[in-house]
Amino acid sequence: MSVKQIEKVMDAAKTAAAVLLSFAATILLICLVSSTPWQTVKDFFLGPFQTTRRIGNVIEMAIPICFTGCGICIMYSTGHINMGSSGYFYIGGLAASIVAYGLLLPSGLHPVVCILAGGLVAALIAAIPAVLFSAWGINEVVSSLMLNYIWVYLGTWILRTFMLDSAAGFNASKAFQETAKLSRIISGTRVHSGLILAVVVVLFSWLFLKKTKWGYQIRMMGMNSKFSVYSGMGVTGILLSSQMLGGFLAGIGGACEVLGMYTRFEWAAAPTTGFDGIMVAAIAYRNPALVPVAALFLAYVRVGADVISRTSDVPSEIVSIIQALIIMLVGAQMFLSGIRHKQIVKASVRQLAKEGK
Amino acid sequence: MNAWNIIFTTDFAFMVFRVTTPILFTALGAMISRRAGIMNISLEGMMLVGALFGVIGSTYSQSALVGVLCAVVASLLLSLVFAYFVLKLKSDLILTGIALNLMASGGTVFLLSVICGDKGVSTSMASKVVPSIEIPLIKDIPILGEILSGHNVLTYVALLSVVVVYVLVNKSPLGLRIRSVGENPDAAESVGISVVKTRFIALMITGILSGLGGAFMSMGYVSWFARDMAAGRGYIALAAQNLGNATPIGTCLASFLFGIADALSSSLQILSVPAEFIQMIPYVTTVIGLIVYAAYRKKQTQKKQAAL
Repeated sequence: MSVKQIEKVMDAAKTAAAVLLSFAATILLICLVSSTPWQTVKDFFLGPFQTTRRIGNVIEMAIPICFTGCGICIMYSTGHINMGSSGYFYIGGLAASIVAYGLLLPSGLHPVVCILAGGLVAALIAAIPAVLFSAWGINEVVSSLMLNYIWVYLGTWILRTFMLDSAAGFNASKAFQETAKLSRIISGTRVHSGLILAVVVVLFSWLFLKKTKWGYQIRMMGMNSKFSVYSGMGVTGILLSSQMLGGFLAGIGGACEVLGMYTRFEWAAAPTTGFDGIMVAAIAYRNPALVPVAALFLAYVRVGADVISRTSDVPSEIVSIIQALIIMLVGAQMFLSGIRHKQIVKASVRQLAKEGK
Repeated sequence: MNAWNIIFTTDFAFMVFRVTTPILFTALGAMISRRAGIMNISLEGMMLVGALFGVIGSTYSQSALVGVLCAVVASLLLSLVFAYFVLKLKSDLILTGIALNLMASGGTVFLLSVICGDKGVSTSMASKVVPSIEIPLIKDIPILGEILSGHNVLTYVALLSVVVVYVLVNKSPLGLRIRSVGENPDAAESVGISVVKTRFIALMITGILSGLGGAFMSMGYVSWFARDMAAGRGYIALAAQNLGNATPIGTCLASFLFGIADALSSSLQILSVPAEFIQMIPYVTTVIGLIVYAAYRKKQTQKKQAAL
């Protein structure tokens, strides 16, 4: 095996170890808390597969995370961490909703316009932290976190002032036109045609990041921004475009979510999908091709936690502990680094011996 | 006109101190981490954990002091986890911070639900509150007395912390080590300062301060724990530290600025301005503050370069 292959195998091994360790911690916690531990553990692991509906839940939960996850793979590849994707997802959903109830369009075209509207508005606001950084060196982590709050308050105001349907009985917009909704594609579940777009986005992101010159520039900037500057790449442009593209993907994710899962816009707060995207991108080592796997996994443990919160005395929040452990262990460079080091040394020695002949 | 009548009152000034307290504690903590060269976004989680354990500790001991100690210890333990992952296992700072915040957000609800069967608030627990005190002499001064006296003990502790942190960072050997590790870790290492050890200590101090901030939330600001009650204050504290350029005095002033914005957002709700815009004030202030400060600093460096 070459060194590169060893790195890949070790990454996979590290992820597997992180998953196993966090599962062990979950089982331990369930045993501590639950009065029926074995039944609960069984429900947690097998519950999500038991009915078509639950399998559907896993898939429909993974769809939006694929969008934000791919977006974050692209944004993070520049080495600049933007925490705004929750806000972009929210605003994407809001903008799409306005088009979904406000415009009369033929059914094939309507969702496309909605989704584009969501993506474009989100791309615009995603540019703000990048501009603030390029112009004044303002830390994007802080600015994007603050902007998230601003977008949600602004969105709530827009919802209350311009979009409200008093007949709905709660803070919700007017009902979407039938032509705008995404159709269900698997019967017995709520899995909608946004799934197809999610697959396209994953493919696109992977090709873009790994196979195009633009994507190469983005990754190079993340690996060594000085090299990028000295070799004449327009660093500001690369940063701005990557953040906007990431925002665009989060925005179309938000649009698909509202059109596929809701009949009105009713989000009172930003969904956690943006932060889920960060987690998924971390577990996938910023590789868009692995994002769906990580997203499905995240959705699987969440549905499992939902199942046990209904069938047992264990609160569903147990899932936050699993998630945190996995991300921290996967992100830990030194976790299992001893084994990695030994394997690489062995391979290099073998390589040298071969060349010696 | 109406707004001015609300703002220029002793009640409003009193409230500013009250709402600034948790931000100030945590911002000082953020500052020490930053001085050691670590961007710590897990403050939000530390505050939450501190707030919950303050309630748990004071319920079971029926002592507010024990409650505060529990809050500090819990937050300290979380900061040790952060330190271990970031410094020993070389995890990504931001990812670890996000993970810990998520763990704290869900984990506190998990614990709350297991302990008192409620996923929202801890009102069924008989937790204690840190008492308020009148300051002799100061309380007799007209106007000033009404503003400065009668606060929660933790509010005075927060104000004292500014002085303590100032001395610690600028005048103590530990502070010198923390600053050198933050400014140039390689140089620090070369003269025999352990970067990892110093950063561990800095993160522990951050944990203690954030724990106090969390304790104030559930044992002073209100008398219960509510899910996600930190409500972004950890992030605001990080912004305050940023705006204060990581100096104790600057951080304190920036915290008060956010305190004023926060107090405004609670007192202006009776006006006819939409509630959302008023709730936005602290966050908008942060962004504008960052821009103004960064633009000012850029101009200063340009002037300096022009003078050379």
